[in-house]
Amino acid sequence: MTPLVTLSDVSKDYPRTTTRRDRLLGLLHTLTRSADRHVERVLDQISLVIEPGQSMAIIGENGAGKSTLLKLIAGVLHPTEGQIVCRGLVAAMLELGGGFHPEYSGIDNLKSAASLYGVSDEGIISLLPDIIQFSGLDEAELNQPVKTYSSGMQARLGFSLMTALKPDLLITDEVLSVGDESFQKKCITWIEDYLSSGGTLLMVSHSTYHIQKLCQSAMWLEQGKVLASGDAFVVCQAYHRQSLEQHGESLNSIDHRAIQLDQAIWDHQKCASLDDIQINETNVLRMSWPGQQRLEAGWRFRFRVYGTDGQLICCQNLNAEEQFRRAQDEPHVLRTHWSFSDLLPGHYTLDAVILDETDGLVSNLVDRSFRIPGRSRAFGSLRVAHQWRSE
Amino acid sequence: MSETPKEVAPIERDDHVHVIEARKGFRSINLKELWDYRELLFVLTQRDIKVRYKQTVLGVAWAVIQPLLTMILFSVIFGKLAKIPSDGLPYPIFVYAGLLPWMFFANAISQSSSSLIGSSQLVSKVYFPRLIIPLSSVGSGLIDFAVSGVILLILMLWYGIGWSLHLLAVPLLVFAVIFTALGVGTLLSALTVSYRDFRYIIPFMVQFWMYATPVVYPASMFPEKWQWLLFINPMAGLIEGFRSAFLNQPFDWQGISISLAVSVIIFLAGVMYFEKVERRFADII
Repeated sequence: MTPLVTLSDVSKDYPRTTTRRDRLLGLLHTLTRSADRHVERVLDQISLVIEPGQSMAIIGENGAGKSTLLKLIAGVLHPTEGQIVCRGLVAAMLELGGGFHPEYSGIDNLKSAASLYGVSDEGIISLLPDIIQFSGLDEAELNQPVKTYSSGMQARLGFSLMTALKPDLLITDEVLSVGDESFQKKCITWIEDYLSSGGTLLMVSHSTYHIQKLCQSAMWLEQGKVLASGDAFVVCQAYHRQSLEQHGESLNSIDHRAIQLDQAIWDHQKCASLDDIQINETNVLRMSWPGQQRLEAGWRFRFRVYGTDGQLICCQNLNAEEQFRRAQDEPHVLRTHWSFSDLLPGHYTLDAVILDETDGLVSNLVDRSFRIPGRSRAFGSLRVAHQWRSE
Repeated sequence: MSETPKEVAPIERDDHVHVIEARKGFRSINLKELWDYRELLFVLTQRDIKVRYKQTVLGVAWAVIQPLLTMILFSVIFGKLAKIPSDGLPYPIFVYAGLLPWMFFANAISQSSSSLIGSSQLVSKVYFPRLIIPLSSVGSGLIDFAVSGVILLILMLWYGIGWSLHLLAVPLLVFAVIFTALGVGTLLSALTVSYRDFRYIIPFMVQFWMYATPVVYPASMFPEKWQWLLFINPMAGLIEGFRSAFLNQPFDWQGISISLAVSVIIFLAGVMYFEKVERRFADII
């Protein structure tokens, strides 16, 4: 299969023009045609192949070069070195509502934005009903200038346009974090459908949940270099571990706060495996960590279970102080018993974290999806005891 | 329940391969790409026109008021007070025939020079040939240009100047003015992205340029021997040409030719510089 996007040794430098001196030097370099060494390297020798049907996430801290990478693939920026080859229609949502003119009405903006992607006037008119339906905006709102829109409405309009374009490659940069929850879900559902019908996705997100839900693979960027790439779950875990360690280091030096898990086990099976959970049994999540890592007063454990659409099903808190009144140097073991017999078959996510007294994250213990096997006629997430009786 | 995506008419798209490479130096304009994006040029031009008089009370009437007021003002100051000669024509119509192309040109270059910065949202978020942006702001002035042209034709009847065959030269001159405006406009728009100083330079430059151009005075005020120097300013030959065409005066073909040649050079230089620095825009805008 011919890859959709191929990046070969792509590097990107940004000119440093913050001071007047920089500008003058830049002018001098342009005039004398000498190379401008006064630059900042944002991406360094990135090679990447995206096959049709692949879904990939780019993760990394702020300033790692994620957005720059997306902009390069979208063609907005030009690489300083290397080559990018793209095939087919690339639709990039680098920012929802990017490319909209504030004075222009919603409809007119849709038309001009569509022409940015090479869609003709007739083409856009045939697509308009679908776009409007997806956006959920009414006639009156669409005829208002975009400057009167809330950011959520702009997000709706922007995403709706993408859905109609059906691009070969969809690029999104943190766009799922905009808009209200119901629209977010709609977008996620659409992306899932788009992926299952053979679409290709490249996204930047800070939400592990979205990444693991939508992406098969992930690439971890740090300071413009690829640190890891491969299976989305593995890369995300590695990224989390590192950011926790970094976080922990700074905390450790102050008050030994970071908790590192030795292991987290479901019924003696590694939590990291995607095993089906038997609904009729009580599942035990056993977590242990070394004794020298202390839990402070006021800290608590929080366990949450999410449904497929990101909906929170339950959130349980456990006060750490009460549970861990034991010798400080003994290794800690926390065992939680879960009965999932009330969950309907489907995919779920469980996460467990330790929070401090101000709800700040101390440690990210578990972030795992699991499956309740079986079939059910009921919709939703929970089985609620009920009876039918005709009278 | 999740929505199943409905079948819609497939969008026309050619499966062309898009190669983005690190390149240096000058390159030719990608005319095919520009042609592929003609729809966008049209839409953006339309958008500029619509937005131009939005939220004004008088609306499109400004396209009529602006040149007429300028004509009256200039007739009083330069015609009556300074008594500048006007080749034997009534001063108001003499100056209006010069103002017609000049105002289009001046608006076009000041609008297009700020057009890229004004569209930074677009430039930093979506890919398209950037040349479209200054092109569309030059294009959006064409409506005003046409309106002023019609007013001139009416004024000619008012002042008893008949419509002559000389009017046939107008399309050629209009094209030449558009070309010059495109060249200067693209050049200034690209320069303004890197050096915002141009935002302050351009208003002065436009004023200075007007006085260096025979708008309020006739080229005949210059000694014959040195007139060719005047025509190195492409607008000089073109504006004299406009006057000859509308006001039924003899054409100074030599002057017009010099100006045309210079305007072609400016156009090529402007577009080439633009294309050279185009790929840097998103970095610094």
